[in-house]
Amino acid sequence: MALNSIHYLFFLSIVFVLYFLLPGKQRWKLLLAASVYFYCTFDVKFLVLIAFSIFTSFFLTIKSEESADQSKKKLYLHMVVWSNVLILCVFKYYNFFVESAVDLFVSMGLHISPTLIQIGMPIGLSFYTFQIIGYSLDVYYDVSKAERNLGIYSLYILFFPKLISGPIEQSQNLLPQLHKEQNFDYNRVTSGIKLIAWGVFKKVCIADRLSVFVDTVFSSPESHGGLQAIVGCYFLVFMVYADFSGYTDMAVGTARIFGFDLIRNFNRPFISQNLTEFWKRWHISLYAWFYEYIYNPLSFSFRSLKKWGIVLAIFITITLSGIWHGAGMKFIIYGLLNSLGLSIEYLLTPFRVKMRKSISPVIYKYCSIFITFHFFLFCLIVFESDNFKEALSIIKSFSKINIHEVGWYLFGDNKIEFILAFVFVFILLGMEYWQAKTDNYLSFHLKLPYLVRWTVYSAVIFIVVYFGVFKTSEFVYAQF
Amino acid sequence: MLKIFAKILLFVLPAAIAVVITGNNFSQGFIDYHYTKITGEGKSLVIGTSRASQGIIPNMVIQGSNYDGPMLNFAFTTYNSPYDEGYYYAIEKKLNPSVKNGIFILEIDPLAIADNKKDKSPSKLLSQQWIFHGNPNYEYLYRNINPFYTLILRNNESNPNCIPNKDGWLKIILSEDSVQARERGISKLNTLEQTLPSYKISPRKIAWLEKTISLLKQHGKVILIRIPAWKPIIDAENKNFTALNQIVLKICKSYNVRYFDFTPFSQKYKYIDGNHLDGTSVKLFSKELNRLILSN
Repeated sequence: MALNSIHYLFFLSIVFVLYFLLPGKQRWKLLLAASVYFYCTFDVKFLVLIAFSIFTSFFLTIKSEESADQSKKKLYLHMVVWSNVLILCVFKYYNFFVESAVDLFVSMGLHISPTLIQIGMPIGLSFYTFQIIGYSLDVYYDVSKAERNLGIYSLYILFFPKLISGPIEQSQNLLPQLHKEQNFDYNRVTSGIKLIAWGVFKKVCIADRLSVFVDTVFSSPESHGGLQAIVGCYFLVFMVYADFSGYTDMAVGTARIFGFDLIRNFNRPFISQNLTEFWKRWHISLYAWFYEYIYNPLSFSFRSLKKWGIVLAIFITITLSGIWHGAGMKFIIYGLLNSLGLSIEYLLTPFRVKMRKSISPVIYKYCSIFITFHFFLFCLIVFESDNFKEALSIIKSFSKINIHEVGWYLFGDNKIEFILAFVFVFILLGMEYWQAKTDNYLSFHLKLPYLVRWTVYSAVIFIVVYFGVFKTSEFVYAQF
Repeated sequence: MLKIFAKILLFVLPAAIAVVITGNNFSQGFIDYHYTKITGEGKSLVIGTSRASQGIIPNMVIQGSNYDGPMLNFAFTTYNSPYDEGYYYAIEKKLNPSVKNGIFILEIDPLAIADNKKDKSPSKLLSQQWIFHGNPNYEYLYRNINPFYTLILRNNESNPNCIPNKDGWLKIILSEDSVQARERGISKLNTLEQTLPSYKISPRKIAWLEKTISLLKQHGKVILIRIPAWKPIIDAENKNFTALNQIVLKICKSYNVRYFDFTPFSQKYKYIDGNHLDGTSVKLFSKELNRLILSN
């Protein structure tokens, strides 16, 4: 059940009505049942797997907290962490490693035929595994208390808005909210609905429209000219952003109507002036997780190496974050490229400070934004391509600009769709600009007269219905 | 809470009215190859793949018979309508439950009862569709005309080479020049010779074929047919699916239905691309079916 489907709309409406009809203390039970149902709509067979992860982490984390013996405490923590890492590796990386090993053996003249896992990957595995590991580490380090209510804990892992693609919620944020009785709050609910509507708009009007152009270029890179490739690659950035941030808006909006605040996963990433800032604004929950649980302990361990210790910690952390996306060389290269970018940025800090002082702040700012954006664009081309060779061939094709190509895009069969793609990207950027002005950017219209405001709402629905592309329903990050 | 729902309904209303107006005004021309099959009504049905979709004129087939009419050609393509779960439930939803004396022609195309290990993505055209009656069919339009505004751009346009008739028969007009038709036939044969070896008769699809027969028998008479195609194509099919007729005859025996294999007479007909009957042959073949129905 995709978050942008009619099925989800009905599901959400029913859960919403029942939720506020039930007595306050019973509401979380309904959310848990709804979350289990939501998970089952993807694949019932993996319910056992997620149940195993929930039960083991629940009991072992309590054991870890209760244990006075430090070594036992650590043992329970390791059991939680490694059992979940093992599940993640088996389902996500086993086939990749086995196939890579087979390729290696074949290159040495040896032929083997090992068994591969053919049952697919459990939905949301990477997200809930990280949440479980984060929770057990928080308890181990006394950052938060172990949850004693199995139902609430299960809801913390399974809560349906964030189950497929996050945000990866930290226990300190979500668990206390799940214990509170959430009352019906008209303003909260309407604000949640607006966020869902904005997320749907981003997904069906922007991401799925741009994906048609992006797929055209990436499905056969050699058959496209330079201008097509350039436009396709720029569209790729906005497609991934609109897709993933659209999903996040729907998730956060859904949680909000039930009275919960999920953490913000995106914060206008394209205004970032450097990569460090960019990764604090893009997929915030994932990079906060890596920062907290991987980078911080590593940089502390490597402190004797001074600045090279930091570089090493960056490389390990960011490469792992690349691998988190999936098994394949392109994800490793994606991680390595980002590590390289961040490391160079770190090592050049004194030079950048000097530069900032020596040139106009405005020029420095916009040059920095330009460089950061285009470095990310380059990384994303690698991310989207089937392999690194294909990514390079797309980039090489940029130079093949032919003036006759202009006609293909502006006057070809997809003329209206192409113009709409630009219009919607500008709307997206316009909203981002507005967001910079005010935190409550989806409420800017509240001061408008009723008639105007209601016309805006109706117009948004009209645009989604008439201009939304409903064919590709899967979200990019649902595969991770 | 009621206030919120009332407001949402109020905001949705203009878009809903606009959709209804657009649907009513712009869904009369050529929508796609399948729209008239989804929206058309029929007490008797033609079931099968593109060979049946393009090769059987329902009005001609049922003419003069006592079976409940009208007849609708509800055949699609090997990709969209193999004998599987999706097609079975589509037929079930399409069927008029009050019909007891219908005639149901089930076309047997080897690829409709075969599986290819590599191809695991079934068509969603029929399996996701809920509503199979009425024009405009908003569900179908919503699912298949994407984005929705493109329905207005079509402006009830017609496609001179493809005429979906109201009885579901898809009339394809391609040059009947024998050289061009032969070239298309050779191209189709080459494709089939490459793909056919990877297909095997599927027990799963055979089971769904049997379920379909069983369902339709409750509403009238069922006959199974194999539509002719260019001889080299039929030879390639027979070479790959040697047990096809045996399997079908066994099913017919157990369900007490009849099977008519027209492929031995393939040289009697002409084809637009080797795989589909041409305009003249469609009429000839439909008349043949009509004679068969009247005499049985």
